[in-house]
Amino acid sequence: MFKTLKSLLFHRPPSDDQFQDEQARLLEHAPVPVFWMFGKTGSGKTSTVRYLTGAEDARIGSGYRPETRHSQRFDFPSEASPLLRFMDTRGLGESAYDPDEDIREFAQSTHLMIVTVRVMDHALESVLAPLRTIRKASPERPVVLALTCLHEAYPQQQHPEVDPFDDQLIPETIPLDLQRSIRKQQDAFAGLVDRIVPIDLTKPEEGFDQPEFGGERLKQALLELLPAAFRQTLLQFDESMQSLRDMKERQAQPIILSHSMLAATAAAVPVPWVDIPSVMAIQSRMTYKLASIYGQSVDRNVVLKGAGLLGGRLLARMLTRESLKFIPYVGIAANATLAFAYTYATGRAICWYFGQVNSGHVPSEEQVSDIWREQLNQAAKLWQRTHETGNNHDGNDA
Amino acid sequence: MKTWQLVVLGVLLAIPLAVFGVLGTWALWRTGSLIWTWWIPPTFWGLGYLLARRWQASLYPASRTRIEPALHWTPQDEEAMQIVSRRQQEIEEVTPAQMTDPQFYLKTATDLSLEIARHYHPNTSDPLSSLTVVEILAAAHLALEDVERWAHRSLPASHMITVRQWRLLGKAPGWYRAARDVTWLASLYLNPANAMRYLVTRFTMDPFTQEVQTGVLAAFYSMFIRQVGYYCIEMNSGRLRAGADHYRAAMARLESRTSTKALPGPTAIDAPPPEEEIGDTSVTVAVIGQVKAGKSSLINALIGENRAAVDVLPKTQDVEEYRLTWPDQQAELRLLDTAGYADAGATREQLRGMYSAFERSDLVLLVLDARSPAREPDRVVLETMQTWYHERKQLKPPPVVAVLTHIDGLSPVLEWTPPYDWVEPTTPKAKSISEAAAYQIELFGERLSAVVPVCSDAAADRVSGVDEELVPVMVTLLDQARASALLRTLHHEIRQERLRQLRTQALGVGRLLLESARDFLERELRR
Repeated sequence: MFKTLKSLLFHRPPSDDQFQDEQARLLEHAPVPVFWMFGKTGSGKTSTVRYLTGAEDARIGSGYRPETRHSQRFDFPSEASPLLRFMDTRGLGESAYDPDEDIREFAQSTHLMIVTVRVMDHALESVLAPLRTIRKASPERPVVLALTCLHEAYPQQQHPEVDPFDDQLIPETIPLDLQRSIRKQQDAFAGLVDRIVPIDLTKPEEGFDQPEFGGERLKQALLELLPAAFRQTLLQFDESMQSLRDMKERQAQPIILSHSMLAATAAAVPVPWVDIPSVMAIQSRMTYKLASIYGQSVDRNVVLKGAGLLGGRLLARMLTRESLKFIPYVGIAANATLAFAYTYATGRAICWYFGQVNSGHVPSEEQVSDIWREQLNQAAKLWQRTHETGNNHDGNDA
Repeated sequence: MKTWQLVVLGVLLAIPLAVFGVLGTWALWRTGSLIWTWWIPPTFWGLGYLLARRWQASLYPASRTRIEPALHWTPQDEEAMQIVSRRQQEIEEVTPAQMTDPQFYLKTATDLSLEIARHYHPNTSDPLSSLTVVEILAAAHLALEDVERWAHRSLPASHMITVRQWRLLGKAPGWYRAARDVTWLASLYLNPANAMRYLVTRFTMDPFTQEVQTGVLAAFYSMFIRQVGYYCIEMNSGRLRAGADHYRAAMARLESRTSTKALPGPTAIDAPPPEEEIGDTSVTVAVIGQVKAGKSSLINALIGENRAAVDVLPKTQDVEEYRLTWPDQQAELRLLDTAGYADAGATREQLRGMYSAFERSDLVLLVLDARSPAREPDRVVLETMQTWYHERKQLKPPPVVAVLTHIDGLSPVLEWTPPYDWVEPTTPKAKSISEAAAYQIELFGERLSAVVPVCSDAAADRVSGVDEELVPVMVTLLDQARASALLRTLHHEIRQERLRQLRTQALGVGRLLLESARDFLERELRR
C-alpha cells in the first residue's frame, strides 16, 4: 500500500518490467476478441483481417507470430495492447494439417471461427475434413463461413449495384451458376457453420466500385455471434472508426481504444488505489505511441504536457473515483467506465493537440481542456452505447 | 576437313617454300641474310599445324563419339550413361599397343557390360544371368553393325585397311604427346616468347601423319566404347528382348515421327476411341488437375470445339477421351479428361481413373487455377506419379506442362486486354501473371517441363494463350512424348510377344500330349 501511494504521489510510471508483468496479467482479463481464421491460401483470410482492422496487407503479413505448429497469431494494433486478435491456420491445402494441437490450444482462447472459402472453389477436402474434427471438439464456438471472391462467378463485371445478399443467402437475381455454387457450398458445410456470409473484399487496384462488398454483413454476423463480453470491443472499434477520415486519426484510434480497454480492465480490480499507477502507466505508454504516429519527439516533457497537462484534474477525479470502490459491484462498474473514458478522452485530446501542432498551431491549455471534456462525454456515450447494444444482442440470442 | 581448308593449309605450306626456293635463297646466301630469315618456315608450318589440329574435329567427329542421351532414355538409362562416359575418359591411360589388340576390345566390352548390368540389377551376384541369349546377341549384332557403318563412312579408305596395317597405326606413341601439347600451350599463354622455342623445336620435327594416326585410334576407341555402352544400356533396360530387328523397327518409327517441326493447325476428329493397336505411336495426353481447375474448358479450347462438358460444379466423373490431330506434325493426340482431385466428394473410383490416365500418358497437362495458390493436392499427385515411375524404371516419365488457367481472374481483376507479355511484364496484369508462373516454378521446380498461363473461357469468348503458347510448347515436347509412348508400346509388345510364344509352346506341348494319348488309346483299342 505504501509503495502504491508512493508511486502515486510521485506520479512515476512503473518500470518496464513491472509494467510488462502487470500488462500480461491485465491482458488475461481484457475483453480482446480472438478470431480463428480458417481457409486455404488465397481464399481471402488476409483481406478479411484487413477489412476488420483497417491495417495494410504488409503490416498484417509481418505482424503474424508463430503460435502453434500450424497457426500464427496477429495482434491488432500491437502485441502489447491488442484490440483484436487473429489466429491464422496456415497451410490448408499446402501441407497435411492435423488440427489436434490447435483444437487443444484454442479451446478456451478463441471466440469465433471465420472460415473463408472462394465461392466457386469446390476443391475443399483440405478444409472440410479438419473443420469436422474442430466442430465436433467445440460445437459451442460460433463459426461464420465467408464465401469470398463472388466476382469469380461473374468475371469482368462489377458487383450488382444493390447488394442482393442482404435479405437472403441465395437471391434469384444473381447468376444461376452462382446460385448453384452457393447451394453446393451450403450442402458441403451443413452442420459445420452457424452463418454463411457472401462477401467480396478487394483491393482498390482491382477496379471494383464496391471494394468492400458485403463487409458490413460480415461485421454484423460477427457482432451477433461473438460472446457478449467480447462483442463490445468490436462494437466500440467499429463505431468510433466510422466518423474518422484523417489517416493519422484512423491509425491512432485502435491504439487509443486498446489502451482505454486495458485501463478499464485495470480499474475493474476490486481493490481501491491499486489501479491508479497502472492506469497512469497505460496512459503514458499510449502517449508515447500516439506521439510516434504524429512524428512528435517524445521526451518526458511532452508526455507530461500531453498527459500531465490534464494531470492535476485527472488525479483529483481519480482519487474520488477510487473511493467508489468501497461500494462493491456498482463501484467496480463505475470505475471501469471512468478509466475507459479518461484514457479515451486523453488519447483523443493528445491526438487533436499533435494534429494542431503539426499544422503549425500550438493550442492553448484551455483549448486542450475543452477538447478533453468534449471527448470525455463522447467516451462515456460510446461505452454506454456499446454495452447496451451488447446486452441487447444478448437478449436476442437468448 | 573441307577442300578449301586443305587448300589454305597447302598455301600456307607453300608460301615459305616459294619465298626460299624461287625468290630468295640464293640472294640471301649472297648477302649473308640467311642468318635472320631462318624462322620463316617453322612459323608458317607451325601455323598450318595449329589450324590442322583445330579443324581436326570435323575429321574425327567428336560429337559422334560423345554420348548424347537418347530421346527415349529413362532416368536410369541416363545414369548408366555416366558409367560409359567414364570409360571413354580412360582413353588417356590406354597404350597404343592395347589399342590395336583385339583381345583388349573384347575385355573392355565385357567389363563395361558387367558394370552396366550391375547398375540395372544391383542386388544380384551375377547381374548378367537375368539377360536372355537373344538380348545379348541382339546387342552385339547392333553394336557391330553400327561400328561397321561408322568405319565405312568416316575412316578414309577403311575398306582397304588390313589388320596388319591397323597394327602399324599403333607404332606411333602419340598419347603422351597430346598431354605435352597442353603443357606447352599453357606456358605459351604465360610467356609468348616461348612460342618461338616451341614452334622451332617441336613442330618442324613432327610429321602430320603421327597426329592422324593417334586421332584415328582414339576416335575408334571412343566410338567402340560408345556403341558397346549404348547397346548395353538398351539391352539391360529390356528393350532388346524381342530381338534386333524389332528394336530397329521401333527406333525407325520414332525417328520418322520426330522430324517435322512446323506449327500445326488444330483439327478435331470425330472418331470413337479405337482399341490400342500394336505399333500405334499416337500421343496420349493426360489432362489432370484439382476439381474445377478448368480441365474440360482447356480441352475445349485445344480442340476448338465445345465438346467436353463444362459446369460451375464438379462435372467430369470418369476419364473421357478426345482426339485431336495436328496434320503438320503428323501427330495424333488423345486427350484424356479426368475427374478433378481435392474434392471432398470425389470417389475412390474417380481417383483411380485419374491415376490410370496418367499411367498411360505420354504427356501430362497439369491444370492449375491461377487464382488459388493452394497447391498441396497437386504436389501429392505429382509425387505419386514420380514414385510410380520410379518403381517402373523401364519406362520414361512423361514431360509435365503446368497450364495456369483463369489468368483473367488475376489482379487487376476487372482488366482483360490480352495478349499479355508475361515473360517481360510491364503492366500490373502481366506482372500478376508472371508472378503466378514464377510461383509454380518455385513450388514444382524441375518436375515441370514448362509453365504456360492461359485463359480458356470459351463461353465468354476469352480464350488466350492456348494456340499462341500452349500448342507450341506441346509441339516441342512431342518428341519426348513420343519417346515415352514408344517405350510403353515396345515393352507392351515384348510382353505380348512372350505371351504369344508361351501360348504357342504350350499349344505344342498340349498337341503332343493329345497325340500320344490318342496313339495310346488307338493302340489299346486295337488290342
